[in-house]
Amino acid sequence: MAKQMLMKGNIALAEGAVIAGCRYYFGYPITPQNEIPEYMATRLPEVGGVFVQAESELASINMLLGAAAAGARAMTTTSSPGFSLMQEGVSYLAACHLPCLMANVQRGGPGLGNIAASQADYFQAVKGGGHGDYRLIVLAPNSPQEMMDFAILGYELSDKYLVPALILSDGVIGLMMESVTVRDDYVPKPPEKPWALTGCKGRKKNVIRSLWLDEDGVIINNKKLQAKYREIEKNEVRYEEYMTDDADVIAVAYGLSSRIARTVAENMRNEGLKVGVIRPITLYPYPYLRIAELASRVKSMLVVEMCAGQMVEDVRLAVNGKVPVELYGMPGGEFPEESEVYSRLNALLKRG
Amino acid sequence: MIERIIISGFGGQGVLSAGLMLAESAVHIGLEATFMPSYGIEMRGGTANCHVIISDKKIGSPIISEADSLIAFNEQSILKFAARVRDKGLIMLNSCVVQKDYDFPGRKVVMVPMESMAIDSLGNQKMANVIMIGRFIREKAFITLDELKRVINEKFLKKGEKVVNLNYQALEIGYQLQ
Repeated sequence: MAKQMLMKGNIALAEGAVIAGCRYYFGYPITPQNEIPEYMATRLPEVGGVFVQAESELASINMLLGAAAAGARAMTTTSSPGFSLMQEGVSYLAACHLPCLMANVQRGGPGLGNIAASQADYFQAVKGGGHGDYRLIVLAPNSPQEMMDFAILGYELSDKYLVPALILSDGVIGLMMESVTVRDDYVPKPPEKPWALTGCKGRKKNVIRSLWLDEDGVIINNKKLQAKYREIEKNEVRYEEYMTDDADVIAVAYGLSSRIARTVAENMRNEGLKVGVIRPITLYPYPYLRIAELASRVKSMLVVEMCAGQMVEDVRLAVNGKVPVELYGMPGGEFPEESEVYSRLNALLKRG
Repeated sequence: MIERIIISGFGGQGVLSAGLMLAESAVHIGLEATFMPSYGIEMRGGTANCHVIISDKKIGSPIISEADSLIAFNEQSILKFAARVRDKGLIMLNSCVVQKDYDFPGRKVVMVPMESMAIDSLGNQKMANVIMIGRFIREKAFITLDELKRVINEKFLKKGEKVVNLNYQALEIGYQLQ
């Protein structure tokens, strides 16, 4: 019987990774995700795993690359400025078709910023903070339960497609505590990894590379990557909707913003106001099709995000001019106010 | 039901500990709860507050804009959060440190001399926060005394039976306070 306990988001993520079979963690301290390396430092040795506090984020991501290349389920976590330092490694992981799990517990930026929650790393996560034509599978939890669930899902999807997975969280989802059903009955079933570097005695050697100086190596690799991405876009889109069936105005939000939007929508429905919320769960692959469908049934949409406007661009892309898409964006570590979300949705309802 | 509680004070007063006790009790009895801590950078003397939401339904934002209750361990907390307490809400104050005579129209005010009670009855200031919690659960009956005792036992068992019993006493004297 899985136990139910009050759990911190960051801890749920870490324990979820361990439950999913993660036995290698390489990381560097940065607020607001320090609970993760702190937890892994004692937890991994308990299960025969290895914890390394690397000398920097640059070292962490490269250690992750090494472990992933050797076929292990491995992980690194960081927050915004740290994820910036990791971008070269992220590009390499993607180019090398290496499965792994990363997490960015977003904080205020740009620059060193503050330690409050934000959602200003959306572009970096889904449009590529690293160089080249690559994508990551990006999962956006909005609760400690999802922090645990998506650690597990992240590994499953990453191993299935050989694409690195990123959990895009924030300082509130990471630090808050909420009831979590611990998935201790989950049995990880990672696929065979015949491509992994495990010592080639008795078999042909494996090569994991991202450099081809010949005419077409990089072209071929890109074709392989793109083919995978089309599959992922077809099969792995995930989102959640609240009260959208008959909504006149729909809010689009992920992570903490989606919880705020949902609370406001519930209150407004109690007043007879027809609002709904769509919450993207996979930020890549993005639910463009579903948002486009919803756009043909509503008067307008309101994107609520903790930044100056990043996901709003993808919503506008999906909506393609059908209806107005407005933004309520709070940059710099400020939280969207329920009262303001209410006013903005109300104004859109009245506009007609 | 929904109960949105802000607990606030100095770092070191057991603000977060108090909030955790309430949240853990709630989850144990099958309610939904969220706990959101907020710290300043200092470990002692800086501000600390937590937002605890307890409900029988799924909880939205873990951040409280309008509170049902404020439990203030120091004066700054009142200046910072009193305005957020809704009409007919509850404000509990640590009357040992609150200097001014505040007026909170429309809200119920409960004064608890938590530190002097802790020192006089238990000889130890550390349990002052538990006294406050004891008084709080008498106001809000959704968590019973027994349930909170269970959480205290779980939390302090490794510090020994003496500490557990002192905390039980703190809870009781808070609960009995008029």
